[in-house]
Amino acid sequence: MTDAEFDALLAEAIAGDGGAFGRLWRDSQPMLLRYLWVLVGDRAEDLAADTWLDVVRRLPSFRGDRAGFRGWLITIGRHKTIDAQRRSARRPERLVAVCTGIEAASGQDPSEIVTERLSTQAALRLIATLGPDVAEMVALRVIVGLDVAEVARVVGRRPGTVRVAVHRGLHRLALQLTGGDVTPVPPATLLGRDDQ
Amino acid sequence: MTNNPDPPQEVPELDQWSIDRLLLGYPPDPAAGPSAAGIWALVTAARSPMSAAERAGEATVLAGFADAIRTGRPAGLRRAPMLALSTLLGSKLALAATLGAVALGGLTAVAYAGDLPAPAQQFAHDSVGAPSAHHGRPTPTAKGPDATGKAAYGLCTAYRSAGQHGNAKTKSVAFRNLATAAGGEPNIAAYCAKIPHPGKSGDHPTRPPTRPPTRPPVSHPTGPPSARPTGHPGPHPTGRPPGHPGHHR
Repeated sequence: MTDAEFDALLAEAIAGDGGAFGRLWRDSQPMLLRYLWVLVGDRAEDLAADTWLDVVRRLPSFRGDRAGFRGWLITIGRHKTIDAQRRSARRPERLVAVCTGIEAASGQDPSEIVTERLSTQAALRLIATLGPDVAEMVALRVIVGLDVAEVARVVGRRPGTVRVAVHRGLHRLALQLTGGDVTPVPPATLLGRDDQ
Repeated sequence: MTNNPDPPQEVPELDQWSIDRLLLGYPPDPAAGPSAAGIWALVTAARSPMSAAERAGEATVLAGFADAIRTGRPAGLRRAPMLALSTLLGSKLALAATLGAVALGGLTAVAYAGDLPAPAQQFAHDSVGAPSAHHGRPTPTAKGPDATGKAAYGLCTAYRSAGQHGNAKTKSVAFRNLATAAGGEPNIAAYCAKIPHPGKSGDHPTRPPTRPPTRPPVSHPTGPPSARPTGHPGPHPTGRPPGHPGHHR
């Protein structure tokens, strides 16, 4: 979808055209759903639907291009996720990914996958194994396609922190995918909190 | 590299520039090594087209969109009809009085003018598409229904009804909107003659050209994100030319 196509669809959707809104949805739903899946696993679908309903409500106030829309959408989804996790009385100050059990649930040896076509679900499972913080940053870079500065804004970290974390996370995944030696790094020590 | 017979093999860490290129959607150089191939496999899988399973939620969201457009009510407040119903039961005396006082046509007219008690207004809103009662939120009713949008048919019906009954509703905001949409009070009849019955053909036969029928009545409680990315993400490698010589650290 080009930026011009996006602009036209956005205007039509704001004017009430369901078909145009449907195309916007199909354009951005995969990356939203996959990003949320890395954060919360199977609850992603509900959160994505919730996010889109919020988008419906706020659409008339949105100003921006396709890239801006995706960043906006992701940020709404992220807030929804944090709200949901606060409601379920988990650790309220940060996202809690569901990496526990994902590795076991996949039942696949990643190194066998790389020679064939890596499935989307396998890719998401791999990313989720990085632990909450790094997994989210890698997801925003790999799935959503945000650049380092954009990721830093979304997650509220310094760009340098994002760059290092994503680099190390991707290297670790590359090792897994190519059957290389992986030294597990506890997510908690991989990255110091640098939030103000 | 397969020269090393010992598993695990040494996989050199990719430099930042190579990673950035892969994330921008450029395939790895064939000589780039296994690490680049692995990350490329990850990127292509993570950005693959939407699967049928991922599309499962489409109907729900599109229904929410249609609902928001149809009712002018924020889609995020999907429980509103139930709340309205309970309020309605609590106020059934008031509603009964209203129902007893006016015939259905009259009710429709009153409802479109937005003059019913809130619960009854909500009932009329849910059943015939009259403006919502808005549940006591900061009132957007001063704006009245959008006479160029979905409310046009109802407003026209109300206008005709008011004319037949000699009702003085023509001073209401709703009728001023209708007059504005028609280009002046004398033109209302001609304007209304062109308004088709809603739901006869097409999804939104009287769709307004540039904005939804009703704006969300509340300003954003949680606000749009302040950190809205402005760059160009995604699988479109527009950022950096392929032949970039330097490392990007």
